[in-house]
Amino acid sequence: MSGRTASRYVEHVPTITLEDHAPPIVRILGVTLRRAATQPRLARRMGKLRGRVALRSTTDPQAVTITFDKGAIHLTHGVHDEADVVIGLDFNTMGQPGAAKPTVKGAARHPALALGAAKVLDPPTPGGWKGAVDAFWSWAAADPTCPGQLRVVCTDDGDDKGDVVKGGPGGTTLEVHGPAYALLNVFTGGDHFGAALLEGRVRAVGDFPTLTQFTGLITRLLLGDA
Amino acid sequence: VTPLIRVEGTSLEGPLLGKHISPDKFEHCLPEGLCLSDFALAMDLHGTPELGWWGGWRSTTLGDMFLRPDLSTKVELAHDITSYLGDFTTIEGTPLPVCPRTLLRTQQARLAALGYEAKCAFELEFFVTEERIDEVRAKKFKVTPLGSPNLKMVYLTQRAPEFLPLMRAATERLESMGIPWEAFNDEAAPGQFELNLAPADPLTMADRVVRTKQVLREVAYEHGRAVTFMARPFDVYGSGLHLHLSLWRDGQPAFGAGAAAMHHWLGGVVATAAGAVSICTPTINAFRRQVDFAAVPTTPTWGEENKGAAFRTVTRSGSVARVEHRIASADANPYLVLAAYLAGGVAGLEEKLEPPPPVTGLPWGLPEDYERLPASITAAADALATDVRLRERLGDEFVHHWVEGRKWEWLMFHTGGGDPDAKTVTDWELTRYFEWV
Repeated sequence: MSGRTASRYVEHVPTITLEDHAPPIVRILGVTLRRAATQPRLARRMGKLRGRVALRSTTDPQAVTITFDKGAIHLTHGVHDEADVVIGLDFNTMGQPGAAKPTVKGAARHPALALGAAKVLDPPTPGGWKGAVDAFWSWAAADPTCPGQLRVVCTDDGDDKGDVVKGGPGGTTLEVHGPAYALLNVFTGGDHFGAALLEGRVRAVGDFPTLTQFTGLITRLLLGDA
Repeated sequence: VTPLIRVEGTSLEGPLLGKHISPDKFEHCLPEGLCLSDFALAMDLHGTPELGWWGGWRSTTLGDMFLRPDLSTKVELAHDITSYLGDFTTIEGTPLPVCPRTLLRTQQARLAALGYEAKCAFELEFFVTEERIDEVRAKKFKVTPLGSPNLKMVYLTQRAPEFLPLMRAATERLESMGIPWEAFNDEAAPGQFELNLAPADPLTMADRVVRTKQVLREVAYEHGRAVTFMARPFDVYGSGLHLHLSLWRDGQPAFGAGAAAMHHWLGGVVATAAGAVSICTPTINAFRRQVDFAAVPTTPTWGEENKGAAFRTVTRSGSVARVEHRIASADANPYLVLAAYLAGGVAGLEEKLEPPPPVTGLPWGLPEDYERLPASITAAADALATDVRLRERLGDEFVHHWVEGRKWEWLMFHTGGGDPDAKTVTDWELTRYFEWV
């Protein structure tokens, strides 16, 4: 096998770094990109991207600039003066049904960058909402604030309908009910559990200490805390 | 006019919480006190439930706590209101570990166990606006500090006609409530003033500060003005809450040049200064005040007669030798500021901690690698979380609740419309803090 051929099979793992003292939106998108980087197809795409993509909230001052440099990815807050592509969106409703369509500036001049960024910023979750719950449980089960038993119920009709039970009886229990899109967002860190709960996207059954600590756990997932 | 009884105590962030009750109800609720939902101590200043962490002191069913009146705090307020300050307890009567007044009481007792008594006095800085609070709200907090915006000097007595009616009314009301004051003056920013209270023991002093803030708000309203204790509501000098403290033993001053008690006290408060910043500068807005060369300490330093240091010693007269704590911003809870200060000082006395050498020059000009105080709400929270001395003395449950609360505040700022790059005070800060701290 020639060296040239062999190099095609070497996976390039992107490095994703954040500015010091990064605000929440920078940390949230850092988590999203790290999730994308675990998927070989998206990791390869990240390795090819070069340029600056900024995401700017249309409803508040939150903004992020992602600098792609062939696998070295760095996130900072704000919109860089020399951003190649600027995407305007509502961070609070993205991923929800009926969310306003993002506006994109610079896509005509940098189509590959705009398309590539859109792909890596919206990584598919293997297994859908159930896969998201599996991944969440793997991450959270050992944490002392994690419920002893977690039941997640999808309230949609059709293929997504059903429930998943993690853990076992004997300790604290929590049930989370909601449509597939909301469960997917919550368990991948795409939506804040507390906001989803207070705004009615999901429903929870459990006692108050378990519920509030679970919110903290999801917040740590969202922000990429260990 | 029907007489009313009011029982109140501060939340962790400082606003007074309580109820107005009939005299009959008051008689019947003693000694336990009034029922309030314990949720009140787990909500942010915007009234949002702080979801994300738990404390063993909380009821698992949104249940009640008691606000137990301290009968020694009785004062007669305007409008036929008799008011008591109180301590939060569980419904079994156990003191809550997050009750600010209880935390201070505990530190004061620990100091007493070492044979010392403290006398202390706060200096309250605040802004007065041309508008009354309802007008302030209508203008969405875009208001005018009292007086000419061009008068930026300090101690200007020629401004007296503008502020004397309000300050005279306020000090007269304080006197009627048995709260002695010593001085007031025009401060360095337009519309900014300082009021100095007379020394007292720590718990009494903190009680008097919350009363004084209440009086200033009431009198300002009656005079068609508003008062804010925001750390930096305008893009001028901010407002502090400086604290002078002396120690006494057997009726004799324990502080003075060369005194061991003062030496170790400084060792303790300097060692815990970084951890205490979170408590002393509790808001997003408070960190706008913490900038070099703005008469605000940015380093964990001390120095004789040095107002740039975090702790200024004053030993020119033995009988009034004291240490001035200069870190706190006006929006801090006085019970917690004092509790953290006593905890640090007591740590110094108990562990015989050695202070660093005094700073004799401007502390803002120290080398870049010199340790600095935390400069953000999250950095300050991290410093408190890892301060073993403060944690041991203030308790795990308080430190956990407070630290998580500061991280919550950070999250609310960034996701609720706050702009981290704003060079001027943001609408988010004004809406959240102007009338609530």
